[in-house]
Amino acid sequence: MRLISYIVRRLLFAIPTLLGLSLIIFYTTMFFPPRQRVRLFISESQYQNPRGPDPVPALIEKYHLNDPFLIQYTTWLREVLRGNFGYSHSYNKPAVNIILRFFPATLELIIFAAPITIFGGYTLGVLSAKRAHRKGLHGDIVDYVTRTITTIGYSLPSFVLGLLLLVIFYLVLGWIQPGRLSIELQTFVSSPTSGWVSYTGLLTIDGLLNGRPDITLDALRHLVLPVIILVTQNLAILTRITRSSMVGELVKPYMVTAKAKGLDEENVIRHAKKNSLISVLTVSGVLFATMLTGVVVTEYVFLISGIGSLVVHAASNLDFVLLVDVSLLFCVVFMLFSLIVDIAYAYIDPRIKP
Amino acid sequence: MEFQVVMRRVRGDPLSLVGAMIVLFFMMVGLLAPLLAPPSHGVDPYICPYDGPMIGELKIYPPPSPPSPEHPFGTLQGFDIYYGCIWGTRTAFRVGIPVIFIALALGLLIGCTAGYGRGLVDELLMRLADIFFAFPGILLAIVLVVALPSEWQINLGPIRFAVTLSQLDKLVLALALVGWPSYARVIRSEMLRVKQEDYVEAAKAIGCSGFRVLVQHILPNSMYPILTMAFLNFGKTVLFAATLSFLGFGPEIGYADWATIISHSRNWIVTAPQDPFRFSFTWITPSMFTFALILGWSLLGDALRDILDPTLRRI
Repeated sequence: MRLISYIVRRLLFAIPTLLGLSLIIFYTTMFFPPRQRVRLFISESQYQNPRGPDPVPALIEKYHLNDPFLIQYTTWLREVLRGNFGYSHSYNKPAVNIILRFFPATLELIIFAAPITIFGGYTLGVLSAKRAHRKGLHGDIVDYVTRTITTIGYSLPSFVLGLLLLVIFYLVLGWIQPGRLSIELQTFVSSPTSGWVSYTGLLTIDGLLNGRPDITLDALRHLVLPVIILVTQNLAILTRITRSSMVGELVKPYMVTAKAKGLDEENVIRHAKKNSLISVLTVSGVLFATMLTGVVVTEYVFLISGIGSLVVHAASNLDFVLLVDVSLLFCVVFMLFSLIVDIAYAYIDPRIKP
Repeated sequence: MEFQVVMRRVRGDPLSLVGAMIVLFFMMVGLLAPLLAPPSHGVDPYICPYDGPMIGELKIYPPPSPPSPEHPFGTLQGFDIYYGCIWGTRTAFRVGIPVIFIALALGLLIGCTAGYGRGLVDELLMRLADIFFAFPGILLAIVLVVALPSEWQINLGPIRFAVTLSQLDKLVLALALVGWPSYARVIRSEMLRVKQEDYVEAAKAIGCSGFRVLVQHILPNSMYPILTMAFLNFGKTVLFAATLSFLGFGPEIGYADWATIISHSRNWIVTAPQDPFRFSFTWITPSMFTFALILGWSLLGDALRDILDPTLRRI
């Protein structure tokens, strides 16, 4: 019961932040002339009427695009809350449709990359810290190797790693093409007569649901390289943070107490693990941000039609309606994410009461 | 004393020595760029020399040509890659340093106002920082690069002037606007801590003005953590700027910038499927420059983090 009231309270606190975010997002569109900003409101291509009078001045009037900023903002917010997200001129479709079409590819990438990053990074960090603790400040060979690899993983730009993997696995070995599927399967999936039903948009799951395990396998094969790129950098960051917080915990007095009580090493380490998780949670926002950066670069390099390449496409074509909507989407996702993190805090640290 | 501690730490960990050498190397390259790759007179030295066919003023970009005595790293669409790599070092510093300074100044201003003002001001400014925190960095940077106008009319009553922003300036501004909230938060919490100290109380008791207490007593004692943070952030900033540049939001082709070269050589990678490494020289050298600088900085940063951490200092 207490948890539910905590969640409700947190959600209420999120409202001012979301309002502020939407204010900033909307403010960035003010650099564009009203004639272009009309696209934020209309849901059809009603302003591209070749015959008859130019409908744009009437629309500008209707949505108060020549009025002061706050009036424009409230008009826009009302439309957004009604579910009107504007029109993408570069795709000639309502922005919502585009985002819904591109979102599953990104989701699929994250579903595979996030667990590997979290479990791998945490385990490596704990392992490295244990070795470092046992052997003094600089640790043994395992610790040394882990530190070297994480430093390299952290410093290697993800686009360089992406190009490297692309050249090796696509051009030299010819194993994997860029994209989400091989060309023949891609044509099959996108052809309207093939009987393919897109239940979730996630190709790995849709393949099974459609009774086509070969498509699932092909999709998995195409996910390997992008997931490697996404994992590398985040794994390095997570390993470093876990290692340094574990090393910090292992020298604290309560560890001596635990040992003095006669606990075996396994149980002693468990005490430290739980406490080091707190500092890992603290930086989860940073991990979220690097993950998103990774998504953008990975999708751009491997020609995956997800939100990341959508952002790049929208920005290079000045399709600010899409940028505004994607920003809103990710701000909401991030708020939900930090809510989950805060609930996790309460579970891990009994001192924090929800 | 201080120097001995640093030397002991560096000797104990050869990796940090390597980091220091790499960073030093890049600083030298940046400083000596006019000697290593002399620019021709009368043109912007940050534009790589173009060696290719032209129709009048129009450049006809030829395919990349492999390394030769004339162009040690080869050319990309007629532009000398060696020149781009050398002057790209300067570009990296020219982007990274202003970003850090602007973000630091903004963070300092907002964090100080919040920490010193308390009450409603504090609440409002910290909510503003929260809002910027909740905006995923890469998205905010891209939105800002797109939205910032190339020409800005500044109208402050009697003072009126126009500012023109190049693509690189927009990148710097966008990165700085993404970076300030973390500085603001840290300086604020440091100020709240320092304000409790006895010497601040003493300064107030002998009748120092509020401004004097802030500038002479509180600020110098709360600056330390964010200065360290700013120094350590340089590598990350260069990486972030390179990523945006690679995605096509950096300067145009021909500008001496590592990620811009990599970004444009991407188009040539898949054009030679039968010979995958044919055009690899175009992106491998600038990639190595980028990687080395960030690697050097993070190795050095690891050592400095320990040295600058007062709780670990005398161990």
